[in-house]
Amino acid sequence: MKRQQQLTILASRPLLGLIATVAILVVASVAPIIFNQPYFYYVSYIVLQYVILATAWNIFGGYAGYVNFGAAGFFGLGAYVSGYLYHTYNLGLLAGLVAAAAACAALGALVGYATARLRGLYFAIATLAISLLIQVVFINMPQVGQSFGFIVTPPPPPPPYPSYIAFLFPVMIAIALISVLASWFLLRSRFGIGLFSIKDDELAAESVGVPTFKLKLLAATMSGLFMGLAGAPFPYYQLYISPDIISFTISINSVAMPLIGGIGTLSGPVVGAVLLSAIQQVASVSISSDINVLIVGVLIIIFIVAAPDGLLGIFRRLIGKPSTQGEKS
Amino acid sequence: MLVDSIILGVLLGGFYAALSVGLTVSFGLVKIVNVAHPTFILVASYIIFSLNSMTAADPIVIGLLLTIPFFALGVALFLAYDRLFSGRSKGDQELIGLVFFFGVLVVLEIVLLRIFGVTERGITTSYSTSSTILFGVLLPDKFLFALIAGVIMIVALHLFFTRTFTGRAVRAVAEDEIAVMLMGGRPTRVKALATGLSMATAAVAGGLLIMVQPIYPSLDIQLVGLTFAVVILGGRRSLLGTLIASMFLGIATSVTATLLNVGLSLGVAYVILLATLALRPEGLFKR
Repeated sequence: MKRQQQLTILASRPLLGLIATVAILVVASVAPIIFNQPYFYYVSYIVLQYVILATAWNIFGGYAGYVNFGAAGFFGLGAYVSGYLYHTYNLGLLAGLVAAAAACAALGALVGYATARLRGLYFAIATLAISLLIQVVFINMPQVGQSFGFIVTPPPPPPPYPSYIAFLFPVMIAIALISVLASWFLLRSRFGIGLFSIKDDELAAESVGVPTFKLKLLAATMSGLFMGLAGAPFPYYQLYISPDIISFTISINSVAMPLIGGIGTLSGPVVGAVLLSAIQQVASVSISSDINVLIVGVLIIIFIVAAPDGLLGIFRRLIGKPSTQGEKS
Repeated sequence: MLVDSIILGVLLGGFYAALSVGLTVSFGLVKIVNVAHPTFILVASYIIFSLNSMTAADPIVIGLLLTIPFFALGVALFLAYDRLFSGRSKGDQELIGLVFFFGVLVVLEIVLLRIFGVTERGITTSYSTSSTILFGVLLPDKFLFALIAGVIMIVALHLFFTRTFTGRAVRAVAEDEIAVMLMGGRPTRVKALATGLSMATAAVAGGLLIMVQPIYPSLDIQLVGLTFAVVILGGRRSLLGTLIASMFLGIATSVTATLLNVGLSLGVAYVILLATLALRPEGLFKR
């Protein structure tokens, strides 16, 4: 009930959301031209990348309850597709984004199709195996430089942007906004309610006429698509691509961030992604790069044990509102 | 050539069985998804590496001695896990456990990385490079030992779970926990014992692992894929199924390495895992 009330409030103000979205986009597009701070863009790129990944993960993992442990595979596929197109055919970022989205949406649909048989734990293990397999395939593909990968030299930045990384800032903001809006649309629509019913009890949902398979297919495809979009600009950021980018760190972060923020909520993954990736960036600069992985591990254990509702759940409890997520009458 | 690689595959299979048997016990019988099991094997390997460089004792002997503290560790791990998650609903528990153990995996892996660094570590023993000729086929001794150890562990645990009262109690708990409680059994104690045994096998597997190949902290995630492939293919709850699935995967990876290339051999394990999940999630040997 609570969730629906909140959603109606949100839904009744689409204009406000639209204005806010456009305003953020305009500011983000203009800012890099005036405010030329390479380090800021370097850090915020990673933060935004995780906002997209966590939001994308949450669409299938949070709403429908299918835990994907292979986000790195999707991310890596997106990065490889876009990097390969640029490196070999000199096709730019836009083509890379479209192709990566298509490839990862297809992989997402495949994963969604697999849920016809695979549930819970077996699904999680299957996604992990998929990401490991994708890595093995790239390690053995001579076209993408096997285990060495290949170097990417980005084109000159479109004027008036001072550098390519400054140009990537509005690009990433745009992708992040689109993914959050898509996630929001899904949440407030009948699809979202259907997905939540799958999470609560798939058999019961199916028996009262929820088209569970179609919904899962849709959610998995969307989730994959946005993970691919998160990966597509990465070659232009990191300036090289190698099988190492399909790192377990990305998969574990994509699970940890929604968990820390609040699984199955709209803002939880965003909050978790911003907080955790900001902490990780500070830790990897000031202490050591492997400490940031340790932080994720420790936080996962703490949250799964003590606060499975995430920070939003804690916040709601503090202000005395019951958790809106995972309500079971 | 092909016959050689099949025989080598059988030896490799014995090694895979040693790596996976603990997961069959925890994942199949106790229903704890200890995805960190390979990481515990790595922890054992690193402890054995340190003790070996101090005392020059044989890695397998140290591994056998480590089974005692690892058994205790397993019991403690189960009791902690049970305390933390027994209140959660049954359906959520496996997934929550999975995420929890992924956290444990990450933490342990980074601790190993901080202590030992990314450098590959290995132990050279007198039998590291020697081989035995059996029926005209050259068998590397280290893999022969791994096969023997793997088969002994599986057979011993199989006998324990089928012939002894306590072992049967573990299987009874896996079958129907409530019924065991109604009969006056204590599922928590039985499961703690089984988790201890699972962890004890990790100590032996750690000794075999560092004897067979050089180790590095991020090796565990590859082993996760491999061991789950073995356990799920083997039907999750059957120890003999695990042994046969290990042989199958050993032969498959070995033949792939011979016919195609070494880099693809791990990929074969993942493909077999995915194919099993897609076509026959209950594994080859459904009981």
